[in-house]
Amino acid sequence: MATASRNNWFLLLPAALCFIAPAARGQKAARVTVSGFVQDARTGEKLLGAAVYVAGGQTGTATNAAGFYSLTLAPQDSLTLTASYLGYQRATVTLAGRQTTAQSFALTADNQLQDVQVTGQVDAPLERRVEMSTLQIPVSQLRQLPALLGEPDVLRAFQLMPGVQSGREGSGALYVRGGSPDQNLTLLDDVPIYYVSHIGGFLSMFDANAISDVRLLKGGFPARYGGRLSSVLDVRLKEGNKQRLSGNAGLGVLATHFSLEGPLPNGKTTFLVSARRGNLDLFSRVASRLSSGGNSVVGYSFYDASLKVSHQLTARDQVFAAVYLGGDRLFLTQKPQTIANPKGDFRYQGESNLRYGNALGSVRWNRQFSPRLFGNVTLAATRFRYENGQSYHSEDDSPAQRSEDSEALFASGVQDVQVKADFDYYPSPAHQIRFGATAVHHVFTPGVNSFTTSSNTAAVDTAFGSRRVAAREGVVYAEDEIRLTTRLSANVGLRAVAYSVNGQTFGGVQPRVLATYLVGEHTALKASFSTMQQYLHLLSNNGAGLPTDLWVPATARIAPERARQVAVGVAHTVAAWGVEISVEAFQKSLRDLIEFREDATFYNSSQDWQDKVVTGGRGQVQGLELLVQKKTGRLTGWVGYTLARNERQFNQLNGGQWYPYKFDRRHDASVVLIYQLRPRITLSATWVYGTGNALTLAEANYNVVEQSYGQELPSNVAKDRYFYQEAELYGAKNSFRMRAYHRLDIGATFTKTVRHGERIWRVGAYNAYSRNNPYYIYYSLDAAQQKQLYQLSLFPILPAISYERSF
Amino acid sequence: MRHITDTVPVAVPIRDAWFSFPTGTDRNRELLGTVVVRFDDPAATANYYEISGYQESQFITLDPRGNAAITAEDDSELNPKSLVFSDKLFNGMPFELRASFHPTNGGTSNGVPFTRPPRLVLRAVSRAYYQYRKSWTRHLFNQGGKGDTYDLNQLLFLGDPSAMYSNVNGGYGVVVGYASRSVTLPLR
Repeated sequence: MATASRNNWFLLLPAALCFIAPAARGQKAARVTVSGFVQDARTGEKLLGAAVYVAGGQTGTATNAAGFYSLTLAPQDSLTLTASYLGYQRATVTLAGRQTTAQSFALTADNQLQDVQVTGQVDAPLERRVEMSTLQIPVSQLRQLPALLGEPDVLRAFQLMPGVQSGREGSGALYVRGGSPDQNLTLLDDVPIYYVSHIGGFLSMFDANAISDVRLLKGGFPARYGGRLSSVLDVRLKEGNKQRLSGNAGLGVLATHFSLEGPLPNGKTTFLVSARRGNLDLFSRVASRLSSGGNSVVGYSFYDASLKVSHQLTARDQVFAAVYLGGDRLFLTQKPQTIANPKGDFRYQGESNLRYGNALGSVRWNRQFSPRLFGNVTLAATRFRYENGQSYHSEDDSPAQRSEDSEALFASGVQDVQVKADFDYYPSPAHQIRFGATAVHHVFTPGVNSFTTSSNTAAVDTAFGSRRVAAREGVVYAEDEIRLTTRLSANVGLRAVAYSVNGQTFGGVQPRVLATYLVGEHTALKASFSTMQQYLHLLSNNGAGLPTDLWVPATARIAPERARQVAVGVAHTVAAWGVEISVEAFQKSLRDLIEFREDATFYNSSQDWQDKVVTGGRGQVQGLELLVQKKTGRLTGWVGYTLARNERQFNQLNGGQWYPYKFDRRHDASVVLIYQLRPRITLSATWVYGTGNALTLAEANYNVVEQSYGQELPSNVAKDRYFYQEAELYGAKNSFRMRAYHRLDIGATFTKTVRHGERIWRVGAYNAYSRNNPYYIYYSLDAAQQKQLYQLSLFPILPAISYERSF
Repeated sequence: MRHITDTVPVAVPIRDAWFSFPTGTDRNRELLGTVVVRFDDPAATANYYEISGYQESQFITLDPRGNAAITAEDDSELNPKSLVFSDKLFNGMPFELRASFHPTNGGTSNGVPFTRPPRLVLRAVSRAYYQYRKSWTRHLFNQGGKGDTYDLNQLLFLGDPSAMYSNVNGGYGVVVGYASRSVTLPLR
């Protein structure tokens, strides 16, 4: 019992906070507090990060992730409050200022007014926000960007921002400030999700129709975030339209989608349901049937679906239940076949399936304990599963009555159950305190092979691989957003983590500091320092192509990965033009990185995964980022530029010397333009440029015996007993550069009001000038049998069209 | 002067082997056959094997669908020329391989499909030989699959360049040993 108690201590953290935190409401109010929510007037959807401020603009706050705000002020005869949010009309109210008051705001979106362009000033300008290295793209803007094959993509839009790179052509993965994709923490309504892409990275798993808000933090991490080294992608699902039933459906080359949201008759409950299905297999099924004469079917399918229900229990309590499912399947099915044979017909069939995907379920309870204290308790389960299986059956009618059934399956995955409690406490306008705790129970399945074979001559039933590993993680954090003077503000926090696996406990305290200092009216200097630790690793095959991701825990042999990041910057707003300018320099050091050993193999689960990796890797990333963003007017968009250097060092690789990371990119630039040509026509264009990826190439070669007959075949049959091939001797790792990458995408959105709603046509072209961008470089012989370097390119110009109908 | 040593393993006899034809078709509806080979793994030592098949003087590609020991080697996606594996999963036990193959020749006789009997070679190889062959399979694949497996599409799925194994200290190449047994397979 004592052991069990020790093992389960971490479960007590969130529970204890649920009892302790409400005590804060018992404090006497020496001042008055105004609190409430800011929401969309048309849908009732809460607005995250909306500004609420007292007339004059010197005192204010922003809504939290639940759309809640709280302002505690000195008593006064009257109080004028304004709420504003980008793309919405401001709302202003005047209140009696001598008593604590509940005041919510419903803002009207600009696009419901006569003039559809985004208007007004930026009311929570960059220089006044106590944050840095944070990127946000409004979902409405995201849906107007040119999209690969016509499907708006939540992740791909962030690749156009400074400090975020795409990796290889077509990939939707995010490489944030030199980190790898596994170093990104992706949260869907506060719950981690492990795999975020369809089709091996070409499309994100998030349906833009179900998303209300998405933001990416690449540095300056507040203490409430942790668990990954390089970034946090915070995605929020819509709650569902509170006013009326609405939805949309769309058809594109890549996917078909449908969503529906609205209130239930009780007036207290709303729902959102969305589903999306890939269309690729619809084409490939037909093509493969035709090409194989009906013998086999090959295809790639994917889907994702979300269901979210929210219910207003009381004026101060709201509960949410959400389910998310997403998955991909690559399949090859050999249909039942019969081979006629006078000795007895032979029948067989077979199937291969590669499946992977996420499942997530959560229940959340939001409670406004007092005008100054807001709490959120989440109970959630999340799972990532990866399976690669084959099955085969055969039998014949010969006198021997032969038969064979065989199945092989490789399975890997991770599943978490977590409970977390988060609180926002607003004691005064000078402080916004956030604190909370999380307890997570992880179960990792690093990789298990199972085989069963039964025939009329033999039977095999075996399974082997890395054992399931359970790990427990407990987290407590506290942060205070402090307004030290009228010019100096800071967010200071601590995050403490204890992570226990196989009797080994890792722990640490991660300090976080971010400060902003106003210089003049529209300019601020910003600086941040953060440390991060990552207690799980991703083993991923080095190449592109099929997703083959295994999540494994930190162990006694494989230490947690660590990072430390320092950033300084300047933020400036040109209010008259609605332009925000941000310049940031950062330095990030990475420790205890792991890499697949060069000769290691992926599925070989007869070998412990800990023997397949090299450890103790180090990384250094330095960069300078410029972002000029115009958020209002007919022309919106941004220009981004990153100058960076990104290196790695492992004692066991490259002779122990530092080498460029595969996606080290010295220059990376993007231009994004969205122009409202007419009220119902939007044009958009994006242009990207990047230094070529790093690559290892051969510098010499020698002959090796590729195959030898030896003495096993008679000499009259095996004329040449040895076959030779060229083996290559490689130069320094990643010492060669591909040509620069650049690409123009264009798009147009045509919206028309029709009966019961709108219809939207989207047309566009990916790689509009059909640039042959390098995907890979390889040696081959030319017509004169001279060895030359050749380049493989993936996508020429890809036109796309999609149709969407909303109601 | 460099001194390199390797040990030639003791040959492992083939206990039983045969082939059947036809036993399936591929996606192009071409007939496939199946080879079956059985041998007993010596228990006292760690053993390494290479199995390859021929018809006349041409190699045949063996597809060991669902065989645990060979699947665990994780070579199948890399177009290996032969099956190279260790006895880690069947040390000291009888081993059976069933593998389908594409005949290099064949036809029909009185409506009955036939092909020439394949010849199967079982090599007991040294650990250095095993490492050399494993690294070669990866090395060749990551060059884009030269030779008769040349396929540019393979470049989409390859990984980083993979260096060749060598047991020559400070040099390249290998000195390795093997002992083989071979048999022409009877039709069953």
